[in-house]
Amino acid sequence: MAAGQIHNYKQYATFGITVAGNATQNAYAMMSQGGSNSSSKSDIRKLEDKEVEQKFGKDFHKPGKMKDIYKDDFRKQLRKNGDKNFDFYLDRNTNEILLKGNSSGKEIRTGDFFNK
Amino acid sequence: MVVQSIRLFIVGDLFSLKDFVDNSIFPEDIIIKDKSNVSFDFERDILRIWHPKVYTKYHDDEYEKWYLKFLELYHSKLVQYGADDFQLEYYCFFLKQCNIEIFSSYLIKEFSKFNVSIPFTCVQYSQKRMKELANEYNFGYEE
Repeated sequence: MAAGQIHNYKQYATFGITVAGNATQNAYAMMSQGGSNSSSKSDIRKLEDKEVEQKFGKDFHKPGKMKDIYKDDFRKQLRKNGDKNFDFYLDRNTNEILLKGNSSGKEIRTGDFFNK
Repeated sequence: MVVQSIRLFIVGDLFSLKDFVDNSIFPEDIIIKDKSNVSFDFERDILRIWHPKVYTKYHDDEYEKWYLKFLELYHSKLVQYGADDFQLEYYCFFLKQCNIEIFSSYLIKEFSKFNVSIPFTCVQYSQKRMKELANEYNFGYEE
């Protein structure tokens, strides 16, 4: 099946937990939203699965595929923000693809662009 | 139907993957002969390793114990060579509903000794996609 074809799965969710002595405290501490590098809510929106598929192919979420490649490329920024996982967002003004950390709510600019 | 997959992702600001690999022995129940269950990124010092069986259906205690065994064998050495971020990347693919159980109380207690995080990725699949996945990885499809 060619990349860009629309598929039928409907939900895509990412989240995480930390298994450690003070895990709960750490998790709550990291759950505060926003941050100095967060864009205005109106400037960004979450990419739909089918849009991410158009850009990266249908298996972007599978182990070892595109989502993992972004995680590897931006591991230092994710780590600095306290994030282990993220969702794909879009800057409405520039069409730049952003990674929005699930714990911090902070966005990371990828330098990659989504062109419809 | 729920299908699960776990990968162990290991990094660290001071991690030297090459030093770790050069000074470690990996039996074939850890890294299989064709190295298809490991990804060594020596340029960026990222280690990903996973159970030789890529996917498992529903809860699979033995599958999860493999990751515990890896940490029991290598965690100290990984820390010695700078690793400090251990993530069990958990992937879940489901039809219709997602009712899952992972890590028994015993296992979660044991994993906690290694300060691991568990990022989750859950994706709802259509029957067609699930059948494709089942065929690709040779596990039986169920409604």
